[in-house]
Amino acid sequence: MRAPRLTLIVLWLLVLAALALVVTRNLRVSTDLRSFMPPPATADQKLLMDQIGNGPGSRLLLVAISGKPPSALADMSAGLAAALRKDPHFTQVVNGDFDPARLSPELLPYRYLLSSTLDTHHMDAGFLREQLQQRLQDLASPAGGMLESWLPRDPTLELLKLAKRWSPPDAPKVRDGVWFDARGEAVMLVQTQASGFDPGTQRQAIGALRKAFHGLQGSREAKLTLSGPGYFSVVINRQTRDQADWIGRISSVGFILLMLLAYRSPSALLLGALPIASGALAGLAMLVSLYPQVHGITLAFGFTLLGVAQEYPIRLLSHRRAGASNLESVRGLWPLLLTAIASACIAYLAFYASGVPGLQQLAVFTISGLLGAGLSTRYLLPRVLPERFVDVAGTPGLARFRTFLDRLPRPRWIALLVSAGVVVMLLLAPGRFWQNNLAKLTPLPARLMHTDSRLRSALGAPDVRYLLVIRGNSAQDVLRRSDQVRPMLRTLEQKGALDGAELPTRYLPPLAVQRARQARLPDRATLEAALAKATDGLPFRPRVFAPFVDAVEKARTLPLLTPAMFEQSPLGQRLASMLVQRPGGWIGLATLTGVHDPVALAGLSQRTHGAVHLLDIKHASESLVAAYRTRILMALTVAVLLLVVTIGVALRSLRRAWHVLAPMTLATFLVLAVERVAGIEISLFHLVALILAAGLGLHYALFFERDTGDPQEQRRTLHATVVCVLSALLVFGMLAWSTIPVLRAIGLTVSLGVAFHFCLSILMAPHGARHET
Amino acid sequence: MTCVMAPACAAETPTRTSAALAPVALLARTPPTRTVFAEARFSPLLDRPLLVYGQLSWEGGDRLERHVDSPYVETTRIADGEVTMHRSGHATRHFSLDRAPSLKALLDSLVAVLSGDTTRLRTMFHSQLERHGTDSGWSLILTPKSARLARSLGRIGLYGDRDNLHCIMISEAQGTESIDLLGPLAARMPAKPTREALSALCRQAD
Repeated sequence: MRAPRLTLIVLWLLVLAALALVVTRNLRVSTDLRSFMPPPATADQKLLMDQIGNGPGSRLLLVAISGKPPSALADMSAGLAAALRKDPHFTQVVNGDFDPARLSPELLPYRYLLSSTLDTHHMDAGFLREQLQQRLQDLASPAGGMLESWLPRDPTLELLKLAKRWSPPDAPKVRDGVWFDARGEAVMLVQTQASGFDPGTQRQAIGALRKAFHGLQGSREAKLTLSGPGYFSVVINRQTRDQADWIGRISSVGFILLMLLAYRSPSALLLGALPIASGALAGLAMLVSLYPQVHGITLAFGFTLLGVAQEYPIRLLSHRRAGASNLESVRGLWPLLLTAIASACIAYLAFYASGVPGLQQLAVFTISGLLGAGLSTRYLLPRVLPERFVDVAGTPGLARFRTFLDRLPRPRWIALLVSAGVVVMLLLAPGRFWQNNLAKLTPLPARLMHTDSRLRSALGAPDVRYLLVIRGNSAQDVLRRSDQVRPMLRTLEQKGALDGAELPTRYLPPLAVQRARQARLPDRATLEAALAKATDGLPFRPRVFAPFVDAVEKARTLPLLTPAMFEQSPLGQRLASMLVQRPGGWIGLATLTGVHDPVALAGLSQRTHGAVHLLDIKHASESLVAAYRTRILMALTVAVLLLVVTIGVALRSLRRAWHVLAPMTLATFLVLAVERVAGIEISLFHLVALILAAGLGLHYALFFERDTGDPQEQRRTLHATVVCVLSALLVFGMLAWSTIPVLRAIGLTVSLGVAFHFCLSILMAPHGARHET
Repeated sequence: MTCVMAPACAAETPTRTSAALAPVALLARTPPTRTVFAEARFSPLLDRPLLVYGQLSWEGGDRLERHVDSPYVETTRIADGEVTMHRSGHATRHFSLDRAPSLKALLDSLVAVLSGDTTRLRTMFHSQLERHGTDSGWSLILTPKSARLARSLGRIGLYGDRDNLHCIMISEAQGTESIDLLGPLAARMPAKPTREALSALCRQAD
């Protein structure tokens, strides 16, 4: 008997190892929020899904270096910028060292087409004379030395105007050649290649940034401060994982102790872990064979829901009875266990039918997981468990506890009382019912928020919540519309609705505007005559401005600058992130700073007949979450109907089905009502936790409802249920103490659920009352 | 190490450089202090110099103000490494002192001289003292030690006698030169100055 048992264990472990190998080889976990969300329905949602994290604002990292004298910090800022500009993780690095002389030579001849001077002035004698007189004053000023070498080719300082136009509107002060904030930190803006809400790739980018920083001379004494959406997503992920790991370790120890205490057998503990491991690996293997990528949140949800499967081995371990083999015990137990597994699986089919990729993956994982755990509990576990064991029916105190429970009154009005209580609590509950802001579940420490707002205002970095979206048939169409909306934005700025906007036309005017400017450039003879008239009586040497005349002549015949040409230049990435081709057209994304009156900005949509409109990223993502929840609720409704039918068919009695389903349903609503009365707003995570708790509650109710007529077996049922309840309370009760709301949401909901399901399934079970009569 | 009392320092370390810097000790002033100036700027772009008149004030530390009141009004303030320039009828301009290396060198030399900080002069410049005219007349020629600065700044010449600074001559690398006549000498700026005439004026002022 012993040898086949060992062989089976080894074989089982080998199969698990093979599955694990397949899974680790093929599992691609995506942390990008996009693959978790439902398919977008509205235009805003579609845009959000395309642009979430790809928007120019959300890919920005704000960087500050402090802790050393300014000159050393300036050197470090320059060194870091140089290193990051070579790193493919980053598309743009701005630290204030803007040097017009270094500005892409291929753009230089375009200065007359890019700068707006010619929109309002002619390059005639009057304009030139006024400019040249100012230049004389400039030359006699302390800034003279800076301009002297530029004047012959650019006496109207177009390049300086462009440099000013292209630096952030509220750029920080420059000191020793780089930006410094009011606190004396060297600050810079870094745009990552990675999407801002993809913590996986952001972590790599931030790792590269830190590495570059630590490679700088003197970095040991200096301090690097980071902020921005990408950095936050990394911090939150790490914090959540750290805390979950830490809590998980403590509850694992508790769980092991509980199992040892309950079954007094280390081998039962170890072997009992195999079904759930099999379930998890079966679920993962199924996922990787069906989907190229699995979302991290889907996995987290899936593992939470798979928690039900820990019931299966516990039921078997508790229900082994003296004088019967493991296989005989499991056969007696199987019909009920199969009912539980099958009904849960059928219910999860509703999630598959929801059409949301994340929910489909969840269904695939959970159903395969439950089946894997269930079938291995039925067909493998009994064959590997030792045949010598302690019958738990004899556990001290268990008989007395059973008697106590059996004596409890089972009033019929308890269902009415609980229902009334639930309704009252839901009516009295403060605050909103639903929490759509997923970010609230993983809030940032106040310190980080403070740093972010400080650096954001110091750097004049754009708002991450709002984007102005400009639609068009072509890139030129978008540029043309940006140009049209500019005066409207200027008016709104003056009215205080916002502090500033950065339109794609800041970098590249539409072709029509360039063409008009080009047409205004005088020919060589005209310009020379105007210059001669303008310099008359001024101390400029003759022919000093020949390079200027040549530059203007060259600009007259330049092919106009297209987005594709501009994107080759160092500033090109900036434009590329603001001018995006999408199915069915092009969009321009304008970043906004200091949005004070979103309503006024939203009004632009009407004034431009929908060509321009304000995208509220927070609102769009919240509406996505709400859509997601609607899908879950719809799936849940179908799941409940399926469950009623399955249980009804399995028990072949509506009355018995009522005894199973009523406590489960009431307990679920009771958890919801208690959480709401405590002021908790319900999120997706609460919903998933409620589903897990309901799954556990289904087991309690099913087993308590079962009338075997054997007091010993009743005690075993109680033993199994108590072990299940305690283990669930251990694992999820610990999570309820977490400081991170998302962990707390799951922990608290499952703990409350387990407690309510346990109490109600006893109080509403029929046979206890029957025994008394 | 810092020489607070310039004469005492000079006495302690009678090296060639210290000796060259000896007149500096006598120039130290207590801020705030101001003087009128007349400046001629010779540029290769121009066939005659640009002339401006105004006051130069030192407010202590690295804070300097250059106020032009003729032929137009313009105020330039240097404080905390930032230059703020305002010309009447135009928007105020800000730029980093760093962008104007020769202005920074002028600030360094002038503040070092006015505060008697010979150490600062020594760390930044090679200095060479000439005595001329009467015994009390001298010129101190400062050339930048940093190669980077030398690319934009040729030299700074300070001219004076005994405890007075008369002239500052700044030669930039591209042949641009500005000559500031200070104090009473400012009134002697010719209507059509030449470098030679001003140079002579600076050396012979008594």
